[in-house]
Amino acid sequence: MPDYVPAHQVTGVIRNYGSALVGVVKSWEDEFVKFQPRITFNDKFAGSDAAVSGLATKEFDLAPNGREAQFIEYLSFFEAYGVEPFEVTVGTGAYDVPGRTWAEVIFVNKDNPLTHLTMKQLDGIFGEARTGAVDHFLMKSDGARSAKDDIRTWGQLGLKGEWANKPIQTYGYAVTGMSIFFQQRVMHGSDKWNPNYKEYAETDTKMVDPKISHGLGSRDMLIDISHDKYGIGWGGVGQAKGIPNLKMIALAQHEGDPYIMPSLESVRDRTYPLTRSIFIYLNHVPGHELDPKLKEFLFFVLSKQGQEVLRKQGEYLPLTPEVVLQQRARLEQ
Amino acid sequence: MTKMKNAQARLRQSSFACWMVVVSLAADIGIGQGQSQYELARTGPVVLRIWGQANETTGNGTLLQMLTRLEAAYSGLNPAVHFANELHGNDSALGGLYVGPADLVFMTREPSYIELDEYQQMIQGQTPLQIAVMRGSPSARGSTSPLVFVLNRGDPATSITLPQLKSLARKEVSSL
Repeated sequence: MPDYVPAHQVTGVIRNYGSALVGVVKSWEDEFVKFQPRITFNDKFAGSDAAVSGLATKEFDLAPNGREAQFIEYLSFFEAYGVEPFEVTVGTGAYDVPGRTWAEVIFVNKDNPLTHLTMKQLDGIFGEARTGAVDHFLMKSDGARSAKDDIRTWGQLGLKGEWANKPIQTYGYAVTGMSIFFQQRVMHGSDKWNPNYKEYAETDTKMVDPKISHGLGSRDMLIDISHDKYGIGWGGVGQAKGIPNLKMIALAQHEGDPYIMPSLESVRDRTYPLTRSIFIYLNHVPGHELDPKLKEFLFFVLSKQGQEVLRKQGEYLPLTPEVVLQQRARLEQ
Repeated sequence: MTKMKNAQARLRQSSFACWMVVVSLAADIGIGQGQSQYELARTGPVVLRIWGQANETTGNGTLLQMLTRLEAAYSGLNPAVHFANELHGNDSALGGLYVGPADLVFMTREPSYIELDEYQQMIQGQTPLQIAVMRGSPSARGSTSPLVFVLNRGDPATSITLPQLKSLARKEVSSL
């Protein structure tokens, strides 16, 4: 992990707009000014959902974001600048902390003999035939798949006996940053889900009102899976705590790759395929000069000192050295 | 009042009749729900900053003409009011409102779920005030045309009900 060594002493104001990342951005700023005392910050932390819009209005420089940008956000930025926002991966999401960009875990009932799946099989289970899929805001034909790739019975996953002809009942989240990530990572960006997909929203958030969201919280979902022998769903380890009769499934990126169980270690080292990330977005086109003060700040975040802030915060996880170097290289292009 | 009625008449006569949404702060300039007559609510120099969809480069020049006419008609009634347009498109419009640089947003579609969520994150507990100001064009491409259902010409079907359409598109729904 590289140390932060200032390439230049920089001056000015860096305007941040988006997620505070639970105090992480402020800690990065406090540590950064120890190296760069002539920098000040103007922050407005409204949350991840507003992050990219702050850039699109040209009123802010950096957009810290606890999730990937979404379709309409890519479009808004494109309207303002004619290019896509530049995405810098600055940290790894939590393993099991709700609200902290947690890793998405596949759950089945504990009686289910299934132990592992590939990402392609997940697409077959949760997705549906499609003519293409949207990548950021571009419709691409290489995201297409036919109905023959649908996986609708447990027998299609190799289960025998009473399981073989039983239909697979799918569960997961309705529209959220988590479901967008699932769509991007598993379904090539498509929002065509298995027609039997049962949708829920995160318990204890503004999306679930106990008076009108009866049985639709994420805890309800996991309890429903625990009662459904033929169910499969995706959710968070933190949300599943205390719910019996659930089993986690190991995942492989491709057939032939090792199957990785979700764990703190496999999320920390990012080998678990549904590990998530936190980001900073900005207006930068590779090959063009990046504002030196922004570059210095981002190189600080992508350094031993910057990643130490994540370790101390204790919920998000530091990046691996490989990803830090990869992200630094992207900023140097 | 006559000038405003004339402007309304010109709007009605225009070949372009787009259904749009104006969001927030409309009350400040005297437009209220169910109100058909113009009343001036402000005096003194005012710059109204409008963001949204009326950008020539998006292929919607007619809409820009329409907005310009509306602004000119309004300024004619109230010379103290000036307009500053930042018309990048629909998708960056609402951000202008909740981030701060816009007073009014001119959109040719409804705000999406994520845009409303962003607005509510920035302006706690609030939803934008949304006012329909025109209908979409029945035929002009890119002008909020009504949705039309198209069949192969060999298909004998001639009509369909909304419940039938819903059935055609139906999936299992757990959380409407």
